[in-house]
Amino acid sequence: MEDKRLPSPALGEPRLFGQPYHGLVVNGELTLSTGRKIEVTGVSGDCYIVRVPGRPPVDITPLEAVREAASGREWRTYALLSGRDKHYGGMTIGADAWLYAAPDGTVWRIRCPQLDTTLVRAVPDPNFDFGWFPGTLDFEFHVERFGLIDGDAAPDSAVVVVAAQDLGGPIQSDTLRDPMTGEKVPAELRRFPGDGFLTQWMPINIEDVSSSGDRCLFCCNRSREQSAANLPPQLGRAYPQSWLEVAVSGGGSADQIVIAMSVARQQSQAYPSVTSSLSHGTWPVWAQYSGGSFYWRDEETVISGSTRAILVPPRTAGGFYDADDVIQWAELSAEIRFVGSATHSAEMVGTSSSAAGGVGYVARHVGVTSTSTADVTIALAGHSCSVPQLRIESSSSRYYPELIDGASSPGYPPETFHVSVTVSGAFGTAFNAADDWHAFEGAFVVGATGSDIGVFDVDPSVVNGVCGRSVDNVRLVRMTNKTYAVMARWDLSWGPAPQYQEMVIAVGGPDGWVILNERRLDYHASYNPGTGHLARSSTDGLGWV
Amino acid sequence: MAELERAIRKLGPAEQRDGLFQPPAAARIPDSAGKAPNGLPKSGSGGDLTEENYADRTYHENKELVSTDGLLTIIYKPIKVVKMKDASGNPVTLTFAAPTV
Repeated sequence: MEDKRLPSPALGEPRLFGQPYHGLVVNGELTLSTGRKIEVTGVSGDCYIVRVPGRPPVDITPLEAVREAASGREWRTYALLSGRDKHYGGMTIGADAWLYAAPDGTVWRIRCPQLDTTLVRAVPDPNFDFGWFPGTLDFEFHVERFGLIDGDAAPDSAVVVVAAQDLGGPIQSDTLRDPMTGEKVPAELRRFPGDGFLTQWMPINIEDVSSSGDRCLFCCNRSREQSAANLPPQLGRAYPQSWLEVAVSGGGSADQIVIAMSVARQQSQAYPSVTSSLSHGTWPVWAQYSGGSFYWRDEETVISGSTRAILVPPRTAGGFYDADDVIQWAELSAEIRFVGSATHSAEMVGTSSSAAGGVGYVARHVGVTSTSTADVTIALAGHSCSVPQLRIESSSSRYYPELIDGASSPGYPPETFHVSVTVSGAFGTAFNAADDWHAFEGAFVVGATGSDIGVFDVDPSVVNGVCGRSVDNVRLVRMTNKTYAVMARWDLSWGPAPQYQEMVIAVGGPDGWVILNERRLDYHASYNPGTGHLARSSTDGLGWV
Repeated sequence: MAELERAIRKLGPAEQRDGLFQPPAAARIPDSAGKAPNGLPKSGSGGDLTEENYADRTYHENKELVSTDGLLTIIYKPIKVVKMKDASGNPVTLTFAAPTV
């Protein structure tokens, strides 16, 4: 052991020791206050703070502080772990691990092998329609003393098992085949990673960690891509299903550390609530034959008005620990309303001597007006992000002649159809007003084709994540452990080969939102829990050390 | 001005001056001056100290050096005794106090 013994400071007294280089890392490079640049690998995205209980203030004189700053060094009483893999001073804690600082000041690395794997698989139901993920899982926690540089001692370690932990289920997989085509579910329509068929898994990953590491939030169905940047949904933008909180206590030695788990939140599985009403009226048709003594009368019951309200319950995009180590949730909810009314009229043109003969037709006029609105509410740690209301106003009129029974060769005029649509509040070009029907948010206007108006529900799709409306896919996504983005996406092609356009509407963190409205597929952000700075960039990878 | 003073002095009577001050007699140099004690010194060394056996070092109890952020801890043993020999082969022992910080 002699050769491992560290040189002791015999005659000198060490003043400061640790990782003194701090700041924003841009594309893997840290620029010190002196202008000197240091290459730092792996530092991008997530940023976790570690505060060790009982650390005294840094013992440094004002003169020393000035000298240290002149050398590009700053001494802090807390540490930052950078990136999804949690890098610190050239060491990697791991994506499946975090640091726990016990009340006695000892620091422990806790690694959970069930994290960041593809092991949690769905089991198909007997009909092979879909699968179910397991309701419980055994979690192992490998606890090992961290940061102890001691040539004489072996690392203190222990394994803690939390058996049969509830995963917040039941959690159903995607269907095992596309119901329309019978083929595998295409990538862009999957909520779970895998092949869209029998191989589907639910990744469990760390959502965030409290400042001392005494609590760690796991998220079920959180893919690894969701800690990198904004990526298209087909690259693993999973729809989170539940959140588990790990509580750690104890210290001193590994076998004195206690770990417990609980379900912190389950994703809402509720379908949107729908309330609707229809109002009816009569549509009289009157005719009179040339002799003036016979009246032909028809009367139909038609729908003259319709209302529909769809309330999408709050859906959770993720959670994080705030500065007081309280869990805050990123949530989205939506309210979609449709109001439509119709007018009908008809008149007889020509003559009819009886129901069995004559010349004539009934000229029918149908007019439909409708208004659809969609209001998306987004909340992040008490901060709301204002998204413009989507409003679609539509009016259509149709004139179409119809032969009276028994009439012949009327030579009646051609059918005409006019439609106008006004859309406001939509991102991108997410509609096509030239279509003669319109699948708008929450409503499908069919009144132009006949005497009815009606709607059917368009539930904001969850295959794109936590989505608030389907027209332009306004959705709330997790970027890093403490940053979220409001995104929009629309298809330019309207064809079989989608050409998606993405927009970053806003980026938010624990302290609020920054409205951007930038057309980007990629975006980068990182929040520094120590200083409260939110760094963002449309071009550069960002991280903090 | 100086020439004027000299001219006036020549006109007057000659000055009567005291003789030089007679210094006291010096004390007698003691017999011990310049003499060294016979034999080798009981402590101290003339230099050229050499440590012959690293394993002879002894240490104080473990001390901890903790990084300012608390994440890293170095366990070290402060040096206590180092045994050396001087150029003449005489043993010299360095004994360090235990750190107080």
